[in-house]
This record gives sequence, C-alpha cells and structure tokens, in this order.
Amino acid sequence: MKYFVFALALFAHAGIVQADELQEGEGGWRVVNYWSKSCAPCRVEIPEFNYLRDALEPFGVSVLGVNFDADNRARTMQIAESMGITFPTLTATYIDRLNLTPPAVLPTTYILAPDDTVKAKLIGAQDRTMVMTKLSELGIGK
Amino acid sequence: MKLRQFLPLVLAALFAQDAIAADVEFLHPPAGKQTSLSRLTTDAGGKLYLSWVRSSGTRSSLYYASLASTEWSDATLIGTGEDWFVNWADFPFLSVNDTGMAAHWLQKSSGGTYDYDVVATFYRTATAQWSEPEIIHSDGVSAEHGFVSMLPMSNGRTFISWLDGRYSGQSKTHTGAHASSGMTLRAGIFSGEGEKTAVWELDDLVCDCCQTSSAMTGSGPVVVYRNRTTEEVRDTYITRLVDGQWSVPIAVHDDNWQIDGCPVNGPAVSSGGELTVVAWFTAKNDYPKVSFVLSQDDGETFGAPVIVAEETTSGRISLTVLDSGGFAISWLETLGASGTLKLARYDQQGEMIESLVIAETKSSRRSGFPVITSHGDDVYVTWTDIQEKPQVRVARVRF
Repeated sequence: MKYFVFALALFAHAGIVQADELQEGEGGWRVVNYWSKSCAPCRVEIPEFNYLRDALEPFGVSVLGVNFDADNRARTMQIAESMGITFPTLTATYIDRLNLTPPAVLPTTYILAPDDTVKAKLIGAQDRTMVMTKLSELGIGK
Repeated sequence: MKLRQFLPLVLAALFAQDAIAADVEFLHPPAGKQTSLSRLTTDAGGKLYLSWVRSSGTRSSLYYASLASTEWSDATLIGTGEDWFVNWADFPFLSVNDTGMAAHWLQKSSGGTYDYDVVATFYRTATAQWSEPEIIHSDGVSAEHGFVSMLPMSNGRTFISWLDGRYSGQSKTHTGAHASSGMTLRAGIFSGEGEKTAVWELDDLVCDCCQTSSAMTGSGPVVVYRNRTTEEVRDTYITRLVDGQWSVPIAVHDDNWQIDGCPVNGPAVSSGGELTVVAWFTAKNDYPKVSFVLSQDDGETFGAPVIVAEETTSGRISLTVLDSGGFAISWLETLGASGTLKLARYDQQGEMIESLVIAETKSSRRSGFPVITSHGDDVYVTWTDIQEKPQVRVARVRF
C-alpha cells in the first residue's frame, strides 16, 4: 500500500515538475545508474531513468549516471547525448569520491544514502516500477 | 627490540600468499603515451609480439613490435582510421603463424549508432605487405560484431571466432520472448591472403558483450564463450572442432548465473600437451569469483572447478599453459577505485605453486584487460598504466 501511494505521487508529479539541474556535489538520496554505449540492456533502460530523473526530484532523490567505460569527459558527454540520456552524468572526480567498486554486471544501479553508503544494488535491466519499489522499501517517499 | 617481537612479521612474510619467488622484469616496449588495448602473442620460435592502439584525437592506430631476446623492434603500423569503434573490452587481436600475421580492429558501420564490423588484414612475410583490410563477415547487416579471438594454424591460416549480431535487432529489449534472436557466435578459417575457406555459426544465442577465447588442442580448435539461455543463464561454454564437426556446446561448469545484463568479462582457454584449461569469472548472488577447470581430453570433459580469487576480484582474466605442464592465470583484484594485477602459477594438477602482484593499477575500465602469454616457462604480461597518460606496459615473469 505504501508503495502504491508513493507510485501514485510519482506518476502525478511526472511531466509537470521541472526539476532544477542537480549539482553533483549535493548530498541526498541518489540513484546511480552505470551505463555503457556497448550494453544493449543499458540502452533499453535509459528512458526509464530519464523518467525517474524528473519523477523523483520532488522527493529529494537524484538520478545520476556513470559511464562504465570511463571515457574522458568530452567523449562521455558525447555518448550520453547520443544515447538520449537526460539525467546528469557524473564526473570522474565525483565517481572517485564515491569510491564505488565498479559493478560486475551491466547495467547495475546503486541507491546511495546521503552519507554515500550503498543502500541497494539493483543488478540487470530495471524499469521505473522496480526502482520505485526499492526506494519505497527503503522508506523513501513516505 | 627483541627477536621474538619480529617473529610474527618474519613468519607472515615467509607464508604470505603473495610471496614473490619469481623474477619479475619490467620490459620497455616502443609504445609511448596515449597507448592502450595491448595484447601479446608468441610465434613458434619464441619471439614475442606486442600489439597496441595509439589514440590521437579521433584517430586510432594499431601498431605492433616484436622482442627477440632483449631487443624490441621498432613500432610498426598495421592500420589506422577515424571511424574505429574503440572499446576497453573489445579490442584488436594480432596473431602470428608460420608464414605471416593476421590482425583486426572494429570499424563503425554507417547504418547505426552502435553498430560496427570486424575488419581484418593479413600479412605475408614473403611479400612483406599487409593485405587490404576487409570485413570478415558477409552478412551485410548493420549490427554489433566483435569480441574476436584468433588462433594461428598451419600453412599460414588463421582461425577467427567472433560475436555476430546480425539477428540481434529484435533482442534489444532483452526479454526472454525475443532472446532467441540474439547475439550469435561464429568462426571461420582464413588463408594467408585473407580468403575465407570455412565459416560456421557455433551458437545461435550467446552473451552480447563478453570476449571469446580459442585454443588449439591435440584434437583441433576449441572456442570458449559466455553462453546465454532464454532464461538469461550466462555460464561459460565450450565447443570443439573434431573431425570437421563442431560439437554441441557444453557448460564447463554449471554456475547457473542468471542475469539480465552484461558482465563484460569473458572466459579464457589455453591448451598445451595433454592439458586444456578454461578459466572464467562469475558473480552469482553478487559474489565475484574467478575459477578454472582442467581437461585431460582436449576439452571434452572437465574436472571440478578450482577457485583462483573471490570476493574482491573483478575478473579480467588471461591464461597460458606453460611448457613444463603447468599454467599461469592473471586477474584483477579491486577495492573501490584501486586495482591490483595478480598472477598465479599452478601445476598440471591444479595446485597453486605461487602467486604474485605484477602491478598496482586502477579498477577503472581504462586500465583495460591485461593479457598474458608464455614461451617455455617465461610468462609475459601486458596491461595499461593509467596513473598519468595511458601507457602500455610489459613485464616478463621468470619462474
């Protein structure tokens, strides 16, 4: 039931809330999605994370991306654009600060608490419902 | 300080798992800065060949150099282009046979953003010329093609295996309903002039983004790869060419690792004498492991798996059978952003003899896939140092 209420709220906000551009240095809860240009399931789930970027912003949850291939910044942003990614892509500096061990499988999505601890690791392709369910289980959006 | 205060440290040093008994010598190949994606191979006479890619803006160039005794040859250009698909996990191969060499790179197709072809060129020692680069697959479909493995054969021939996405257009939802039209595994034999003399589809559904590996056993070539079932189980499989027929692919071990995703971490196979070894990475239940299995019948059957590394490994394995009958495996240990390139030597029964650290590196994908090869019992290792500008490194380990 909790999830249902949360989901309703998210769907209600989607598309009508213009989220400000997230500043990478800000804390808060974060959904961190590892993607790669050569990963077919990553490309499939990108629209879901584009949606979540807007839908989760009112709840103080940011959606962020990491280029698993660790290309340089210019190349990374070029690839992100070509893949239609509209959520912010993290810089190498920010990724280093998080000190996350690169995932063993692509795509993988981490949910990070404000203190940078990993609260969930979602392995494989996700959709909006799967991510929102996990956030709800973590008590986000209550 | 009394001696007994030092005793624990002395004992720890004596029994440390990574005690270095081997002699590690860092070689200095003629690859400068902005180089990466290196591979090593040896010819029948023991000469070492190193290939690598130099990047400059949008241009990528494939080079090689050889090492005879202690002297590197000059760097020699194989091919260059501004339309290459350059990827840390899917990178050029160089193979050396009795009459020449073969090399490949990936070239973007015009038809799709993520599509690229396998382009190969063949070198004849007699003419001292590389052939005109040509796409090795004849499907004409704009799709993903890559993860090549090459194997030298007699009479100047080269065996090549690759992943071929000609039917994968419908599978990109990655749902089981469409999985039967996913990535395929193919192989062919090419003459010294690059003519395709045989071609096969070895498996009609495999993992999209893991390397293939091949080896020549006493019975013929074998190919190992990460399989994919319609239930998204992605275990390591082997298929063998025996008496002109490819065997039905079998799992080298049933990990039952079920994932709707790409590990980007292919298996490795090496064979010599009576021994065939397959090593692979899994992370079932999010617990990473590197394991190997041994075969005494050219890959037809395998013994129980032996764990090489676990918990903190990120795979990226390479493997070589030594002349003395044992074998060596390299892999990456990672903790956060830090990485350690490790190498272990095993005897032919699969008992570890020693393990050592080759280099401290990064877990970043820019550090690439280290590759090892051997001549006699000397093991050569190459990797990319990304401490500053990326630069190819080579070490020789004498056991």
